[in-house]
Amino acid sequence: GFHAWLASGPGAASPDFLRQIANQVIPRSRTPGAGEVPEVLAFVNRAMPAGLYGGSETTLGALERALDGMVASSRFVKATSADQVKVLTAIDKDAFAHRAEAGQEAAVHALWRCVKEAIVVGYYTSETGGAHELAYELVPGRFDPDVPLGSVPYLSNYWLENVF
Amino acid sequence: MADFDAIVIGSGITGGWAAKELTERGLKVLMIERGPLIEHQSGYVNEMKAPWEMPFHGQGDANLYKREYFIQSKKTMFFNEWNQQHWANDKENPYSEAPGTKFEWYRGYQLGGKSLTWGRQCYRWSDTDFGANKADGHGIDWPIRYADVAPWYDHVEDFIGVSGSAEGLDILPDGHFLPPMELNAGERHVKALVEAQYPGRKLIIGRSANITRPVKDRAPCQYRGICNRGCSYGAYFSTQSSTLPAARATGRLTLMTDTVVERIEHDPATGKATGVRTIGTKDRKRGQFTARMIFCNAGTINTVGVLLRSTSERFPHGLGNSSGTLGKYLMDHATAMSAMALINGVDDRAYYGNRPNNIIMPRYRNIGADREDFLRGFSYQGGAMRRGWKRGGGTAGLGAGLKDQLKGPGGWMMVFGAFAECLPNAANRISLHPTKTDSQGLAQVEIAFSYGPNERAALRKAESDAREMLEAAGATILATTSEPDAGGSAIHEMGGARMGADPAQSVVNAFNQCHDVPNVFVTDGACMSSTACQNPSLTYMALTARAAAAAVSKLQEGAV
Repeated sequence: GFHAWLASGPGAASPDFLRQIANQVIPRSRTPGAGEVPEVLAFVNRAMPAGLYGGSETTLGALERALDGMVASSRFVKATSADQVKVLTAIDKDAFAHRAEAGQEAAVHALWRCVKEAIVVGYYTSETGGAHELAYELVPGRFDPDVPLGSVPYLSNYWLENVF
Repeated sequence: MADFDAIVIGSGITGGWAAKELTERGLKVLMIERGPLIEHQSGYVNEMKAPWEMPFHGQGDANLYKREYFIQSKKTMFFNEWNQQHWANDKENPYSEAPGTKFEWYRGYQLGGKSLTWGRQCYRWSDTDFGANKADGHGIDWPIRYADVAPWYDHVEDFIGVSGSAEGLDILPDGHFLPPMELNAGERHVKALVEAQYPGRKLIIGRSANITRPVKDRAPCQYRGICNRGCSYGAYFSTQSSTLPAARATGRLTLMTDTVVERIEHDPATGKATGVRTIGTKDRKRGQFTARMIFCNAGTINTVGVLLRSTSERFPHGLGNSSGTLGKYLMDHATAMSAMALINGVDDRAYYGNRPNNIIMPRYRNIGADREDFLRGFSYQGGAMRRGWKRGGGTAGLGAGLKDQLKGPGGWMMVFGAFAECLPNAANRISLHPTKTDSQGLAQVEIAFSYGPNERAALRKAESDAREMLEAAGATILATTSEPDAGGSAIHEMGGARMGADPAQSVVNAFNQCHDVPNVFVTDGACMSSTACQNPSLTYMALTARAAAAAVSKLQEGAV
């Protein structure tokens, strides 16, 4: 229907766009980068039209259009990784430096915050990010209230710690 | 010959207790629940699922929530994709708010009601609490005191299991506790500094219906922190884990789900209720069941709704409403996130496991020699934790640096949320809307609710005290507020069928028995005449067990 058209029509993001920016936010280390994990990409693609983090069907496409205007080639996905990092670092810094009045800030900052949050959440709630990069233990079985930092596994499933 | 000895309307915290106590005392009981059947263990459909096994990784469909769970989904600390089926669908279950007032009504329309999703905090009320209305003249005097309820608190705690620490405080009487859960490093740090500088204030672990030792066949808490999904260990009290198995074990319980009670029938010749009329919420089938007595446990607002709908020539304004107070004096603790701060000095400490419990600071204002410019008091609930990976989505940073930073916990944060006592006020009331109906075709309840100057003054003091204490503990304040959350936010709605000695001013007597209709009992939050400033569920349970014992002896004596 209409929503599917919006997400895949002329204003849609290029196939590579989400994969590339996800890897720029969370790159490969000893574990895969966010863009390499199909379930992270699937999560972000579902989260936007479902309205999570203020997203919509048009969020990814609009972010890509905005980023296209910031690289010399006018195609963000064709830019070198170094150029992408340069553009994203600047936007990221501004987007979190100050929250302008609604409607006053550049649209790209709001789009970036939304997509970045979805990538971070998608990654650490994926099996790769949640259980391999960090530890996942559904049944801790005990509570250690006060131990030296680093002496116990750090769980991705600290639920309350990740609500806000 | 009646179909049943007793009908219990509702299967939540108090309905389950009524069913257990009445069946164990030999009565044949019908328990009626408006929502679907959720069996212990097998019914907890998302309990074991990892985030990546959920369609939205546990974050939920925000647009669906906006359309259909627009009230329930505001409880972001509790409501989520794993447990959304344990909350009422707001769109399908509409209610009205009186013009110019606001009340957020949180509901669990399923077997077990809100016992599946409650916060599990269990506190006894003290004589200061039961005596509060008499002391300052707001509301009517409770006809009972701590000594009347104490043995029933014992009875309830022994059965459900409550973990907590004995502190010897008059304002918050100790109970029969299982070993307490422990304070984490951040909380220990703040406790030491605050208690040293503010004698008389105590920062202690919550008293919680999460068990720390086996209770009968229920296993102790595994520190998963996912109680609201339902717990197959039975490690917290719910109808499913605790009272329902006991009631079923008697062989005297009939359970009916997907059925809403339209009204209670009354026989003017005998002056007693004769039974209930019901509507199937799925099949729309109408039914009628008779009983020798009725226990109203539908939850404060729905219990009042049933009574208001039960009109007759004798009771044109609702069953048991000769006093004219039915529906009036609705209350809810006034809550605010008094202060949120970063804790300094413990960054080298960590914890392991999800403790499903918070800290509390019991009331210390307006007791002893302390006198404030507001009446009654407030208590704090909150806790300390280290921020998780979610912080990465809300702060600057990307690439290898971000990923590396998120490999470990963030800074320590501490929150102090206040629960202020709510004065009884006749203008805060539940009524039936004259024209709007719900999905069963029954009149919608209309709620009129607002906080007054006393609640606001208490929350202002709570804000300044919280700020002062956290600063004294060396913390960095991030935010403070005294603005009350919307009414209903505490999910401690109380009143509407208040208890009192005088039939002209109250709906039920000291044994939760309707003054006007001796075989109708109201033992959920509707019976409350004041709110204290601690969580009320343990008191509801104790009053229910006490009322059930009284009801059965009265029944045997032919007095109901």
